[in-house]
Amino acid sequence: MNNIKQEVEKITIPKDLHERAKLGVKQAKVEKKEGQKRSITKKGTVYKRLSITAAACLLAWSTFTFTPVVAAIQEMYDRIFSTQHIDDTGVRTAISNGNGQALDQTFYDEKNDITVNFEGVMTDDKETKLLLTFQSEQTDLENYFLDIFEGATKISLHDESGQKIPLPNVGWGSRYYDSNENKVAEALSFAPIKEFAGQNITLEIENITIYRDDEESGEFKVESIETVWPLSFTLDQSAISDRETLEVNKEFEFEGKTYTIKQVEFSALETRVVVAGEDTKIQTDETGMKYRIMSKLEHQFLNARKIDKEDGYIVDEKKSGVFLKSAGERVDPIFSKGEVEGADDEYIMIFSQVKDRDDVVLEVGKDIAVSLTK
Amino acid sequence: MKKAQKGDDKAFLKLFQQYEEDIYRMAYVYVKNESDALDVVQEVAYRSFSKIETLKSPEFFKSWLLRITITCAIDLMRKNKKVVHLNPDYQEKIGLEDGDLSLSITLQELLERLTEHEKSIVMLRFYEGYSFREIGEMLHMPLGSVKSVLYRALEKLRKQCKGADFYE
Repeated sequence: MNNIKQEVEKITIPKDLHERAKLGVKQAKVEKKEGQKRSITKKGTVYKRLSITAAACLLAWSTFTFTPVVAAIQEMYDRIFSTQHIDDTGVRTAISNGNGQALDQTFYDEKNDITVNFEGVMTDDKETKLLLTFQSEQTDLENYFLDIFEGATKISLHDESGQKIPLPNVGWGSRYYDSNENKVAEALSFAPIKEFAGQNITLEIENITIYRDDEESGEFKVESIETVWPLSFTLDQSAISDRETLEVNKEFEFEGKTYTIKQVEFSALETRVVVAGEDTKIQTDETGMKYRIMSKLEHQFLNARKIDKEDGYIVDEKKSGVFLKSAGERVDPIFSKGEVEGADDEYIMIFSQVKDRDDVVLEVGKDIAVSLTK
Repeated sequence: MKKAQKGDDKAFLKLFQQYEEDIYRMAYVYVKNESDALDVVQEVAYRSFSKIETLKSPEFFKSWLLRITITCAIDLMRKNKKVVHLNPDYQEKIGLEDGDLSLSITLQELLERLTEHEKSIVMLRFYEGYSFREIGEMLHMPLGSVKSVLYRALEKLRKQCKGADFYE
């Protein structure tokens, strides 16, 4: 016999387990009595409203602190992209820095009664960010996702010659659903389009992915709606930023494993630290199947990750992790850029933009600090 | 069971309690942290009590609950967007409790290496002890597919756990 059962039994049972079961039953009992159909949006509505108010106050303050030009560019984007609901600090910082090409184009998907507003685009050598919102009067959009990572949604580019080029995802992107307005904000993240600068291009988003609970069977369903949302525009230089790569080649040891920091890449959207180590290599078994195991460094990186039901992947302030420090300030990881693949032996950690590219230190846990720039 | 099906919450909870630890552990294998696993248990209790009258064969109560658990756990993972990696805190807790690092690594590999689909089948087969046929019925899969997915999952685990006999 195998030992899987013994292994699984090592998962300790929390004291409040039965209380949680009781809560679930209580909830169902109340709804049965009242004859209600549960809507997921009810959960956390008050909290959402409060956060939106808080975010609005914060924005009101922050627009006064920026220069008029930056503030004008920022006004082009929906405010939601500057709030913590978009779990990509890189996007938020890029907006506050006035980066990107404002699009402000609207497309109406008549069949699904969805109004799509393309807000802005930013691209460099490694990724593109397309910011858009979509809203509907009739269609409940809570479960509507533009998931190009593992859903049915795809994005492609049609160049001036009419050639269709599929654009694979880079990381997962960020999404937020505002139940008060029945509006979704998406920061889609996909392959770079920098090479099309100055060209008239069309980006096409195909299919909406729907993740929903089936009320009848109680099962979780993944469905899709066939549709095409086109966006034609000339890719302006304002959308494009450069990436600066700095060779580092420094070693450090963490939990008995040696890692080499190969390079650090600075862009208007992020900072990437590329590392290779004893346990970051792709493994191959005797049948030729390739697989990757999670390195000790990756465990440490993800240790500080917390999932917030409202705001996605955020930093858990109580946990140690891997951070950058620049100009004396902590630079946070962008956890929504997960599973970005590098070369076979590499592990890529992605952080927000740094304040000073000449002063960057990688901090692993409490004890390890490696200067990437000196 | 009849009482429970008529909406008696106490009778239902008594039945549910017999399986709640299994439900919690099953959920944990997917979501990999206590807080989310407890959310799954609450959701399973909610969904199962809401739909208890639709359960036609009470003898399948446990397998019905486990199927709801799998869908709730995957649902939560999707809502939280993507796969959650094992938190090192958990590793420490398990390791310290048992003083057996090699086994905790095995559990870690079980959590980390398998896909959602493989986890369902491995858990139902080796933790719950269901037959291939029962698993096929629960997951609406042909018998051959259950076997091949399980075989593939065991192959993956075997590579991580040299010396451990994963075969019956």
